[in-house]
Amino acid sequence: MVNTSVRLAQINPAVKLTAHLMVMLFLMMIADPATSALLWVLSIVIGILFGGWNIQYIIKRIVPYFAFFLLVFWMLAAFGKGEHIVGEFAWFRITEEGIYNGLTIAFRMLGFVTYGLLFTSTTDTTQLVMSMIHQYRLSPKWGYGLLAGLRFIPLFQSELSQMKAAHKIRGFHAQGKLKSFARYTLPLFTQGIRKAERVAIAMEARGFDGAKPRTYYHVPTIRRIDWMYCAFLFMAVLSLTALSFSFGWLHWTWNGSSA
Amino acid sequence: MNWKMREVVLTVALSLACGVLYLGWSTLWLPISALVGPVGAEIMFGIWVLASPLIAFIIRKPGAALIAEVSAAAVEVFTGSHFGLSSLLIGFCQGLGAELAFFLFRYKKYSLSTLMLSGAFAAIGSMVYSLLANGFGYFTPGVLGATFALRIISGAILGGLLAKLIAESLAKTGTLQQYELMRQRREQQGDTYGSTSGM
Repeated sequence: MVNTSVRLAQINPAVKLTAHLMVMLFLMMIADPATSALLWVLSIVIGILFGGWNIQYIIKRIVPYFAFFLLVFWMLAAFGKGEHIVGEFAWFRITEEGIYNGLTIAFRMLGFVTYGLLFTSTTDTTQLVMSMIHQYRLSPKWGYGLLAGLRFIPLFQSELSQMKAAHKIRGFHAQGKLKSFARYTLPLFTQGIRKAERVAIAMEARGFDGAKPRTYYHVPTIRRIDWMYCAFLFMAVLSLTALSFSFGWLHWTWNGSSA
Repeated sequence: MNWKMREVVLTVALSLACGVLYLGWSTLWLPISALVGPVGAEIMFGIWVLASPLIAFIIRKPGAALIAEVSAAAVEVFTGSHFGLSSLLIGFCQGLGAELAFFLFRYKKYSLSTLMLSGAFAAIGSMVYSLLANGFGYFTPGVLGATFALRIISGAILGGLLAKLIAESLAKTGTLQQYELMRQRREQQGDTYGSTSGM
């Protein structure tokens, strides 16, 4: 899934992670739908410019989230607080404020999804961990432990589906989600523990003790292009916010919201 | 605070296993919450805080609860799914909450009540995130209060109690002989020569 040829893939993963998390924190401070929508559109534009996204990719990966958008919007529109009631039926109570807030949060969630996708679709996990070791001083013990563990994820996933299939073929029908959950977790965890034990012993047997001074095959650094990307991203976010402010759309979270 | 390699890898592996379980859970979550509102869906919330109490209970070291929840949340980043980076943020908030419970007892007490407290605190941590990011502050006070209460209860039961049950079953399988949980238990029973089964 990771496309390493695009420009965004060349940005230092730790820097990219920090930058995207900061934009997401900024999104949390905004409480109006227009600004949130603008910032969401920005993430799509960045994806097209630097992430190598094309229409097909967007249709395949982003459009499914419109259903998610509607759900989040609906939750706040139907269960949110507000004075001006638009419609009421069953246990749903739709208000103007609810719609306004619902749109804000729905666009914010879409923003979270796409900024997250921008990161995950252009970041190699091994490079991310190496960059965490070098840029964030994650101890090698945890870094390599994490790398070893990451190989388990697809294994766990296939094991889980295998267990489900094995139960099914023997005629076991799960009564309720929780019961089947209890049924599959235990084997999954015991396998996990055994695998972890073997990997740890293998690492120690090869002389890995996680000590700090060590050599690396590949040392990620922070280069000028990383700063340029951050500068571009933050400038774009700030100018869109300023634009929204000049139209009088902007609302901060701490100012409360008004429809 | 000296972690052995096997403890590091076990923490990572178990958290990631929890993360894989969370993946299935989050697809169920949204449709249900849209239909019955945030309140009804909260009953299921506790599963998401399972990693912290479970791993802290086995490893018994400062930081285990926080690391566990963040790594479990990281599965969503590494598999490139749904919530990606936002799950990392919420995982951090939950982990901090869960960690606080063990910190309050100075990492000495690992009883069922501590585990349930840890699950409840993790729920509070996630609630703080939901208020800041997911606009939970916009719900009517009644809905918000009910959501909050249910989430804490669910965190304590599905997080804390379930973690205890799972850990006890895992202990029975004999795979945990080398870890702090069983070591402390052997000490209590006066069994000095530790058996080395479970490979």
